[in-house]
Amino acid sequence: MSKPKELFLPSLDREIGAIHPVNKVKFDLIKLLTSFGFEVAEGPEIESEEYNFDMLNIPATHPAREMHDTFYVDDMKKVLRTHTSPVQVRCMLEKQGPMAFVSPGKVYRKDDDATHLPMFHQIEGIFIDEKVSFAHLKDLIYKICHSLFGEDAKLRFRPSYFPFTEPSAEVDVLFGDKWLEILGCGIVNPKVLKNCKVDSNKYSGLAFGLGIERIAMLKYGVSDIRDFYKSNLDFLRQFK
Amino acid sequence: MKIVYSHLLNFLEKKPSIEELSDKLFQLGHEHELEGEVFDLEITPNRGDCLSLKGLARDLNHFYSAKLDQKIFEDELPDANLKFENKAENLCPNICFVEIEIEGEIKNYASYLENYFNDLNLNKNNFFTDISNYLAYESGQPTHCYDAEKIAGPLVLEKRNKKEEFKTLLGTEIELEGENLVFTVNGVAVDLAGTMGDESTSCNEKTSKVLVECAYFKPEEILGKARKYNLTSEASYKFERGVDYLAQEQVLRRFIAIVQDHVKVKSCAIKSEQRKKDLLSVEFNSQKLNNVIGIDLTDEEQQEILKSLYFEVSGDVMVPPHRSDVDQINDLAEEITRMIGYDNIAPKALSLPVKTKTISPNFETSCRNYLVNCGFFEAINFPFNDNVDESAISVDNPLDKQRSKMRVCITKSLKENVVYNQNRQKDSIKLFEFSDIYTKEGNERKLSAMVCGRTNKNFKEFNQQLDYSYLKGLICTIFEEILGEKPNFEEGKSENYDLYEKVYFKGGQIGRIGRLSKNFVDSKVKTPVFSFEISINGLEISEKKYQKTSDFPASYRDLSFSLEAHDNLSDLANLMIKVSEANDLITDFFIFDLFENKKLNILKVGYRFKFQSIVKSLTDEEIDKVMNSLIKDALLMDGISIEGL
Repeated sequence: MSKPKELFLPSLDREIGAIHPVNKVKFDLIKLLTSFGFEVAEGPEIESEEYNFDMLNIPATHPAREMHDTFYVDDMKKVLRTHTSPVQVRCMLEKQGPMAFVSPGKVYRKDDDATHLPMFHQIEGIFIDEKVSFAHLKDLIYKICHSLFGEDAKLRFRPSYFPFTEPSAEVDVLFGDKWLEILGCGIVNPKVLKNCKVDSNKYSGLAFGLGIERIAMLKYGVSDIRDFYKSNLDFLRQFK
Repeated sequence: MKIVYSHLLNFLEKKPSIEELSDKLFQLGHEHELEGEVFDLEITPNRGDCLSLKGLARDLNHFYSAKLDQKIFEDELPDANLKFENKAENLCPNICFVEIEIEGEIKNYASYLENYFNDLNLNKNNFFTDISNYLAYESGQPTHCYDAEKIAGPLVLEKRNKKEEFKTLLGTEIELEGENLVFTVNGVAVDLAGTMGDESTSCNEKTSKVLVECAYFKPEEILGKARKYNLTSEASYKFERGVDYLAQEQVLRRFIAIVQDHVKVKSCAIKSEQRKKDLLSVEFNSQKLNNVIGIDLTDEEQQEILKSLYFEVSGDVMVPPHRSDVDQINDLAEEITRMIGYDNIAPKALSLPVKTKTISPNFETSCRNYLVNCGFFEAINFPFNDNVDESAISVDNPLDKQRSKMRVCITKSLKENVVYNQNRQKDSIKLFEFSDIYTKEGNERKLSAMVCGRTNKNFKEFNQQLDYSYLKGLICTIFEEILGEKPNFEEGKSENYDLYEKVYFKGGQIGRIGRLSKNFVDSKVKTPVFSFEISINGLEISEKKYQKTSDFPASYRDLSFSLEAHDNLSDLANLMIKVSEANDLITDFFIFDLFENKKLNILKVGYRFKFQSIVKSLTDEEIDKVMNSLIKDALLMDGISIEGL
């Protein structure tokens, strides 16, 4: 007896699409950080210089405020935010006492070459409480990096400079025999706390920030950052 | 900044290997690459004091004992007969000059000077300028050399706003404009302060009498000047990052000593002004320091570390004049942490006292997941273009003219994505993007989707094209399934579309849907492109209420209508909505067939109705009563008939 013809007919396949890899990594990071206790806060991409720079201890004379680094709009009165830190400024101004926020989103720098884009994504976090120390920051960074790159990931902390944290550090993770920079972090500069009406004698804070494209590149092995923004279906199809 | 390993060793008592030194520099935050014996360092902008051999040696003192006793000219110096007027004392509080006249020929450079040029592959210039360059490498302090014979009048330092030609000592012709801090002679600028001197007063091989200037300029005064005039200046790089404000005389005495290493000094004299003298003090609070770092060091241990970095600790901490980056306790904490090594600080368990909140799914998340399940790919685009929309925000300093405005919608970006993929032989394209859109009127969160080409890659749907009905169905399904209510549509006209409807939700217009005009798409592929774009602000997931399911049988009725024109479709659809809303017994209805008979110019549309009650089995009479009423109402409408009636 011959078999029914249905057994031989092709299946009716339908392709599903994909969330953009940068958003995918962003959502994963949000999920991870909210599981630690951070709340998500969002803010505008067009910011005042006051929130983007002044409140964060970036003085008018800082190179970042020059026309070649930052996009200005509205007759030089506003900027396209250069980081998501102004969201944290808003959070600190609005909230009293201990707080833990992460702010994901698009940020802008006046740059366009093989390794820099005029727009990219960051996720930054801040935790304010009594007696928050650099040792606590290290614990958190280890947890984040181990979640992202595995429990065996080797980390290196290097002193660095950000006007809004002091001490400041950059963190490298060892991939093969190469140390790759993954994030920046530090103890919130007391000057920033004061600017944001947080009692710097009572509270201290830790802060960190990651470039989402960088994490996505490492996670997926993408070598050219520009590939994320060509909307090439052959590229996007790989992130289902 | 490039530093040669062997040069640095000359400034250290202990002699670490190159590998050990490299590790230590990393520990201190001085990222670098090693090219043979040359460290190519990226010094962070707050550490201008480390841009030299002495600077790095000071930072390494804690580990290898810095050797900072380089020979200087120690004898008393007579006052120089220099006429100098400082009209910008607030911008240059400390400045020192020495006038040196030499006698005889310079034969060979001393080994340290010769090695500087050879090991770093640098070009020599002239004797005095070569010393100046070396001294900046050694001490981090820029100096400027004038040929003393060419200074034909009093030297004046002033900030002035004057347009004037200026030829640098490297021969570059620039025009000074706006406010500049300059040294002038007889009203002519001879030195763009802290950046570069001019050609007319510069030294050459014949110079035998030099006037060397060493100053402390306020960093913000020098910042951006070299870039403004497109000059490359090592001096301004250092001044911008802050130099030692008390070292001027010491540096010039070292200058004289270096000259003496090479040639006989016939005469030398000094002129010095020093207004900024007081050291900054920071409170020493051992407990606070330990709290910032999360360690437990004794007062003595902390003080020992700070002293090794040239901080004086006597009650308060006195900040050495080369450390312009230190003015608060957290800065001291960073110094202690660097010396211990960031990697050597043991992590302390952190638990956030903030309660985790469950994030409930929002419209955007649900919508994104639905679109992905329907085969759509998410795009993210840059927000810049050159649109002429009046509401578009202009970027004051754009990358180029094509990116001088902020986009006012997502559609144009997605259209470009579609064309990009069409040009790569993609014949089935489904894209979407969520983005905040900023215009002069405010900002809105928007969703846009775009489709073009084949519906799917399978043997049944390969020949079906993505069309207007597909996209409209998509938006209706999203709204009905996620928000619990369908949107409404109203025909309209719009540039860039040859088929266009406004989309309304809960009474307000929230967007548009349409077929893009061929002109707008501007692609060699002629497949039509369909798109919608809606504002999603305030759209919230409707709370679904449980409805009891019926245990009684359902009955179905099919009814086929003949329509004279497409217009009648919407009339009929409105009737169906009205009737179903008025009758609880109709639990569902939909079009199951649509056929256009072009010969007879008739449109056949088949509706299926589902009848069901939750309290009883329905009788034929009850169902027929509803159906007959529906038929009666339909037949009263123009252009609608039912075959056989």
